[in-house]
Amino acid sequence: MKTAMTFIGIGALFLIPAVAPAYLVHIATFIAIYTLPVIGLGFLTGFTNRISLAQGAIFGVGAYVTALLTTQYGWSPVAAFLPSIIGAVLVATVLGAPAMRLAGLYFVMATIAIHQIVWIVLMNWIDLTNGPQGVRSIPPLAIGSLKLETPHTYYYAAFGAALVSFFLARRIVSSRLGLQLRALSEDELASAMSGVPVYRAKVVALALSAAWAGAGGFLYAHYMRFVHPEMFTLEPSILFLTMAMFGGYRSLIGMVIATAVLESATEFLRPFGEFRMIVYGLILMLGMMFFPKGVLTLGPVWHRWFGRSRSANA
Amino acid sequence: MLLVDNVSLSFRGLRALDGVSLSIGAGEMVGIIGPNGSGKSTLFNVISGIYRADAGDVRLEGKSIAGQGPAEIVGLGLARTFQNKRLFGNMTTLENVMVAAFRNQRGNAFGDVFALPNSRKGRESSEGLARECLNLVGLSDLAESLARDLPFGAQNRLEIARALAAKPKLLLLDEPAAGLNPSERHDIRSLVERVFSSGVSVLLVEHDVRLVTGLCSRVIALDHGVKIADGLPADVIADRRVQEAYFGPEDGIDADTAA
Repeated sequence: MKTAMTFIGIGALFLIPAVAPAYLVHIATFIAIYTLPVIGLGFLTGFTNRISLAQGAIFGVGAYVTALLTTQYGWSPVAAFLPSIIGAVLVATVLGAPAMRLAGLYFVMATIAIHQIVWIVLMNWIDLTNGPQGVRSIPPLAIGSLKLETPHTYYYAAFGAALVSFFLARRIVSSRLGLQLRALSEDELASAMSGVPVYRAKVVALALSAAWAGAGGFLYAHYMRFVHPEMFTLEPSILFLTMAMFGGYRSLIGMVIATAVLESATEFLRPFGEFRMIVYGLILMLGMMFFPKGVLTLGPVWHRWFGRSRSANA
Repeated sequence: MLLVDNVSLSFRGLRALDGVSLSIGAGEMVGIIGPNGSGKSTLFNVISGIYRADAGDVRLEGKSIAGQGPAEIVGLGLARTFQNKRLFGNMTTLENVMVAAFRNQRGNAFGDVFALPNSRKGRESSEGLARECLNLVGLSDLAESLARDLPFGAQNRLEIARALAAKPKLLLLDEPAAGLNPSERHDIRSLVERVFSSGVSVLLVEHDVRLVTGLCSRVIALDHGVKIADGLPADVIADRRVQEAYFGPEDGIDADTAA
C-alpha cells in the first residue's frame, strides 16, 4: 500500500511537465532544486541541533564551482558535478568545523560570518569569481547530445536529482551513521559514553549538509545559466532555513512538503494581490506557533481537533 | 584492571575529590558507598572521562586514560550507566542498544549507505549483539518501544543493556537500583550478578548498603572526597569513620567542618 502510494506519487510528479503550464513547471523545478539544500540543512540542524545561516553561501559555492569550471576552463557540466559537491564540502568543513564546537546563538553567529566570508570572496576576488559581473553564459546541462535547455526538460534533471538525494538521505538516516547522529542529538554525553565519536560525527553531518547544498547549487547554476554574488546573500539562507524548520528538520518528507508549499506560496497566494507577502508572513508566524516541530506534526493536531483516525509520524 | 592513583578534583575551590586512590582487579566486583556529596559520582565522571582530574592518574589495564574523552575510554573497554538515566528517548529500545553495539562494527559509512556486503554483515552482527544484550536484561519484548515510553524499572535495565553492548571489560554502575521497588531491586541484583559472572568486572555505586554488601566482595567508602575505608563489606560497614560519615560523630557534636 505504502509502496504503491509512493510510486503513484512519484509518477504524478513525473507527469507535471506534460500537463502543467510552463510557469508551474518552472516553480516545480525550483522546488526540486531547493529540496537539496533543505534536506542538507536537515542533516545539520536535525542531528546536531545547530542552526546554520550559511547554507545559501554553500549553495552558492556549488553554483560558482560549476559556473567557473564550465565557462572558464571548458569543462562539460556533467564533469563539474562532483567538483561542485567537493568544493562546497571543502569550504563548509574548513570554515565550519571549528565552529561546530560552538552551540546555540554562537554557532548561528559563526555561520553568518562564514556566509560573509564566502560572499565577500564571490564579490571581490574578481580574478577568480568575476566579482560583481557574475558569471554569464553557463552552458546548459547536457546528457550526451540531449541538452536540457527548457524548463520542461530541466525539470526531469532537477526532479531526478531531488529524488535520488531524497532516497540517499533516507538511507543515511537509517544507517549506522544516522543512528549515531540521532543518538548524539538526543544526548551528547550518553552517545559519547556509547562510543560515538561526537565531534567527528558532527563534522560529518556538516559535510553532508554541504554536499547536498553543493549539488543543489550545481543544479541551480545550470538552470539559471547565470550566477551573481547577489543571488547568494543571506536571503536564500533564511529561505532554506525556514523550509527546513517548517519541515521539522528530522522528517525528510516533511521538509520536501515544506519546500513545495513555501516555494509555491507566491503562486497560490496570488488572489491576495498586493497583500501576498503579508499573508505569507502570517502563514510563517502561525506555522511557528502551531506546529513548531514541522508540518507533519500537524497530523496529531488534526486528529485531536477533528477526530480523524489518521496519525502522522515525523 | 583499574587503578585510580591519587586523583584530586576541585570545583571553584570545593574539593570534590581529594587524593583518592583505589584499584579494582580483574574479575572483582567492588562497591562504593558514601553519603550524598561524598564524591561518588564525581569519581565515576573522572574515571569515565567526563571530568578531567586536576591531579593524579587513572589507568585501565596499565594504560593511562586520564585526559582521554569518553568515546576513547569506551573503546578501551570501560562502559558506564548513568544514575539519572540518559537514554535516547525518541529512539527504540533496540536502537538505543545498537548505538553502543556499533563500537564493535567495522566498515565505513559509505559501505553502510550502499549496503555493501561487509557493512550488511556488520549491521547484522551489531543487531544480534544488541538483541542478546536486551535478552540478558529481559527487555526483548520491548525492543520496538520508544525508550521514553518504558516503565521506570525497564529504563534502568536498558541503561545496563546499552553499556553491555559496548562489550566492556569493566562496567561502572551508577546507582542502578535508585528509585526501584523491592521486587525490581531484586531483579537488578540478579541481573548484576549475571553480568558479573559473564566475566565483566564491576564497580558499583549504590545508596542501598544492603545491595552493595550482598553483591560486592570489597567495599570502598568515600566521605567529602576522601577515601575513608576500603576492605571487606562487613569491616567497612563497622568502621567507625564510615558510621560517623553516615550518622554523625558518636558524641553528637557536629564536627563536620570540611564543607
